[in-house]
Amino acid sequence: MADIDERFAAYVRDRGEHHLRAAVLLTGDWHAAEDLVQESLVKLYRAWPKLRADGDPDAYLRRIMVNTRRSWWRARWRREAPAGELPETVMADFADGQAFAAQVRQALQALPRQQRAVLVLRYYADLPEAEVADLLGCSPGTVKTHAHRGLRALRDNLGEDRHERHGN
Amino acid sequence: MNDTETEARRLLAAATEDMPPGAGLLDGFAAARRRDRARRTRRRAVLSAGIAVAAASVTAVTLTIGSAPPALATVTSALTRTLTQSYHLTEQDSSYYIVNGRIRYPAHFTCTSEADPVRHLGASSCSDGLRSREVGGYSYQYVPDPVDHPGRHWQRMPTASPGQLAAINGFIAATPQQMLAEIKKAGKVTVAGPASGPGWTGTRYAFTISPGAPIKLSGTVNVDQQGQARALILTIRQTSAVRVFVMTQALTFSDFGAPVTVTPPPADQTLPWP
Repeated sequence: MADIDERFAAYVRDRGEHHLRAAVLLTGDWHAAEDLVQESLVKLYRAWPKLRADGDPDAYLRRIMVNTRRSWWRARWRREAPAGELPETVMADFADGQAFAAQVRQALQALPRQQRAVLVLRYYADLPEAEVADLLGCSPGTVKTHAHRGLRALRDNLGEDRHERHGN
Repeated sequence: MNDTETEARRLLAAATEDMPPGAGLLDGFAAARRRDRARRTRRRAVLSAGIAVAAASVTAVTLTIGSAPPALATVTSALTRTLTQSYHLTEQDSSYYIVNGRIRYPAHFTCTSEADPVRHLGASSCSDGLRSREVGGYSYQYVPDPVDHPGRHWQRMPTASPGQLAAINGFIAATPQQMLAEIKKAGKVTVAGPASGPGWTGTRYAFTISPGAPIKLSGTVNVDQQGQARALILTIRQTSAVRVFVMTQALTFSDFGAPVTVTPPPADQTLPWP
């Protein structure tokens, strides 16, 4: 670890968990999420010396994660069988809160890729529509559309469970 | 922030509550960085060989396109002809997953559109309330719940691709133009039999496209005796270890050459962007 820039190490300690949580929403499981964050951190580290002191590494890492995830998806389209999706039977072994977390992620995974990314960036990372649009390379109108349909589909996919768990 | 957005934030936060303890990103980072160094070294070694292979591939692709089978040429020509004149379009989109032998998460939308690609006019309306228009060099997308700008339901932006309706549904490949681009890559197009509809008769062609496992695209195109595409069905099937995703878009074209009238939304309901 000695050869890693201390400022970078501090950044990972401070913000890594936040990005890992965002990554699990994009990928669906913790192993894939950790792979995504690790690969993205390596790319960030390469650019680290060029980042200005007042630059926003969160924004930079977020963009890397989105692009890396997109390239994974394209690679999967071409040659690989998807992996890392949670079989439904696994959920029965989880404790209650864990089962619900997995259930929400599974409902999220059922959404089209772009819809899922919009929901995660808009409502988990809390980015404004314009920034989400910039990250995903689409218009704010498209972000609104994906958010509208994605939220509705997420609610439909979860059904009554979302009320039971949260009392809404 | 409305209740739906609040609920979304709660759900997404809840979906990360089972983070495994002791996730050591820094430890993992050191190992990932070592793997990255090794990979980059290997990549440099094979780069020159890769360039030679890529050049050979370009030659092969050119030869393949040059000897396109007649059925494929008929289908792409018909679709190109249909998409370069005004038309009305009815689209039925459905998708579902098969998990453990059961159909899950079914979704269904119906959209109707009219378009005049020459005059860059278009309007589309879907069963779930989403709408779009294209007129005067701008695309307008209807925002059902404009939280940030009450009353301004139409977001206006310069039309990115003249003559194409904005892709407003949430599927992967939405527009007829995108479908045509995929069909041009079809490995196999065959005559599937006769086809007919109100006021026309013609031929049904079937196609399959295999971009590579686990994705498979297939469908049919109905071409009338005037050489116009009347209907297009595209099914995408994606197989994973635990489930199958199936999405079908069924497009029916009609009213070729009919005048298309599209007006921009009222200015006081429009939000310009950027």
